[in-house]
Amino acid sequence: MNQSQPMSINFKGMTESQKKVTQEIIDEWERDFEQNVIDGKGGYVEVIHTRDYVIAGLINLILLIYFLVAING
Amino acid sequence: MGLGLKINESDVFFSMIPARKKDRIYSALDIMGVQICFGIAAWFFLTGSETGMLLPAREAIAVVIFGNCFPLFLMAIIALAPARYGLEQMLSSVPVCGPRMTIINIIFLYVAIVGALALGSIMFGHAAIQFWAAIFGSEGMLATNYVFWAVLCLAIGWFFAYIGPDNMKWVINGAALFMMLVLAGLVYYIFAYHGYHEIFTAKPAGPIVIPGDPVMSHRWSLAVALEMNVGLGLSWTYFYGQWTRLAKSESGAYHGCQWGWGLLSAISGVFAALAALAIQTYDPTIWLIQIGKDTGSMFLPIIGLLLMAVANIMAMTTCIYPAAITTITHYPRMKWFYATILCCIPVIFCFSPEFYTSISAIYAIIGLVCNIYGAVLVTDYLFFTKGVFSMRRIFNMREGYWYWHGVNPAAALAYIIGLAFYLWTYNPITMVSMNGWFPYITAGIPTFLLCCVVYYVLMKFWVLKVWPLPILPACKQPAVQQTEVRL
Repeated sequence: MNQSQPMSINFKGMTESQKKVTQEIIDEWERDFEQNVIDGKGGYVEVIHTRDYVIAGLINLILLIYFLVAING
Repeated sequence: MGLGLKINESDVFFSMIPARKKDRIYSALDIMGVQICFGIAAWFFLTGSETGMLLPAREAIAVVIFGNCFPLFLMAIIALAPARYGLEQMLSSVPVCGPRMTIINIIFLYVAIVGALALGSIMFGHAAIQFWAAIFGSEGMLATNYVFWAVLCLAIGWFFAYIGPDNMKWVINGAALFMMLVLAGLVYYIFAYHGYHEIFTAKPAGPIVIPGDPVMSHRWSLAVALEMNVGLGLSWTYFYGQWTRLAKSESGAYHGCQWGWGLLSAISGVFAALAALAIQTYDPTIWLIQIGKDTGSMFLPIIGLLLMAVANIMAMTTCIYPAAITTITHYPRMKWFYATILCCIPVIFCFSPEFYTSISAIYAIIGLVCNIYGAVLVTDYLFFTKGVFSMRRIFNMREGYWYWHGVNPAAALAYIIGLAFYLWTYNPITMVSMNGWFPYITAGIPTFLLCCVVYYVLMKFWVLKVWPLPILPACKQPAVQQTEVRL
C-alpha cells in the first residue's frame, strides 16, 4: 500500500456515486474544518463554550440539593 | 410504495453522510421542542405513575425530576460529536467502540426501542378498551381484549414510519399537542377535585413492603423509583445523534437534549405521579374513567382517551423511524420495509399484563444497556479524544478505527464489567441485590461511574499503547498507520 495515498472510503453497501459524494464531503472537511477542530474551534458549527458546562452544572447542582433535601426532609 | 421508497432512499443516504452547515436546521429551542415531543409519551406517564405508587408526593416529585435530569447531565456530552461532524449516533461512536461493536450497540438500541414500543402500544390497548366500553358497552372482544388494539396501534405506528418523514412532521407535532392536552386536563382535574392538601398528604398505593421493617421498605421503594427514573433518563443515550447532527451549534445540541428530554419532559412525569397519588391507581387510562365518575360526565374522559390513544400511535412512529434509519445506515442493502418492521416483531411477544405493570424492571434494563454505552463515550470524550476524530477513518470500516478485529477491547470490557456489576448489585426482574448494596447506592449511576473508570484505565495503560489514536490532521497521517500497528 502506498503511504502517500489518503485512506479510501470503505463503507459496506455504499454505491460508487454515493462514495464519490462522501469523498467530496470528507475532502471539504479536511480542507476547511479539520484543523479548526484540532485547535478547539468549531467544525461545521460553532463550538461549545465553557459557560454551557457551568450553566448545566449549576442547575444540576441545585437539583441535587433539592433532591437530597426532599428525600431527607 | 414507489414514492415512499424514493423518499426513504434519499433519507437513508442523507443519514449516512455528514450533515454540513447548510443542512443544519435545529437551534437549541428547536431541539428542545423536538425532544419534548419525543419525550412526553407513554413512558413518562407510566414511570411517573409508578413513582407515585411507590412514594409520597414530596419525594416522588424530587425523584422524577432529579432521576431524569441528572443522567442527562452526565450524558449530555454525547450530543457534541454528532453536532460537530454531522454524523448519526452510531457512526459518530465508531471511533470509540470500533466498527464491529456497532452490532452490539444496535442490539442495545433495539432493547430500548422494543420496551418503549411495547409500553406505548399496551397503553393504547388499555385506552382503546376503556374508550370502547364507555361508548358501546363493556361486552365483546373490542371492549375487553387490549392485545387486539395494541397490535393495531403498532401496525399504524409502523405504517407512518414506513411512508417516510414528510408524512411524519404532522404526526410528531400532533403527538405532543395531544399529550399536552391530556396533561392539562389532568392537572386541572387533580387540583380542582382533590386539592393540594389531599395530594401532598396522600399515602402511595403500592409501596414495596418488607414485613416488620418499615425503614427498609421505604428505602427499597425510594431506590426502585429512583432506578426507574434514572433508567428513563439514560434511555435517550442512543438517540442523541439522530437529532443533534442537524444542530446549528454545539451549545444548542448540548442544552436542547438535556432540558428537552430532562426538566421539561419530566413535568409530565411529575403530574403523572401526583395523579397516581390522588386516584391511587397505576394505569393512566383508568384515571380518565375516574375523572368521568367524579365529574358525572363521560365527555372529557372519552376525549382524553382518544387523545391518549392517538398520541401513543404517534409515539410508536417516532421510535420506529430513527431505529430503522440507524439500522439501514449500517446495513444499506436491507430493504426499508424490513428495517422498519424489524423492531416491531419482538414487541408482539411483550404483550402481557405483567409487562405493562413491570415498568420499574423495564426501565432499569433499558437504563442498563444505555448506561454502559454512554459511560464509554463520555469518558473517551473527556479524557482521550476530546471529540476530535478523523472523518476519513470513520468512513473506512476496515482500516479506520479498527482496534482489535474491529472492536475496541477497552469498550467491550467496560460493557462486560458494567453489565456484571449492575446485575450483581440489582437484578431488576427478581428485585434481588446479590451484594446487598442496592437500596443504599442504587445501581444505574454507580455502574456508569464504574464503566468510566474501567474504560479510562484500559485505554490509558493498554489500548492506546497498542492502537494509538490516528495523527491529525489527515494530511499528516500515514495511510495505513493503524493497520500496521494492528498487524
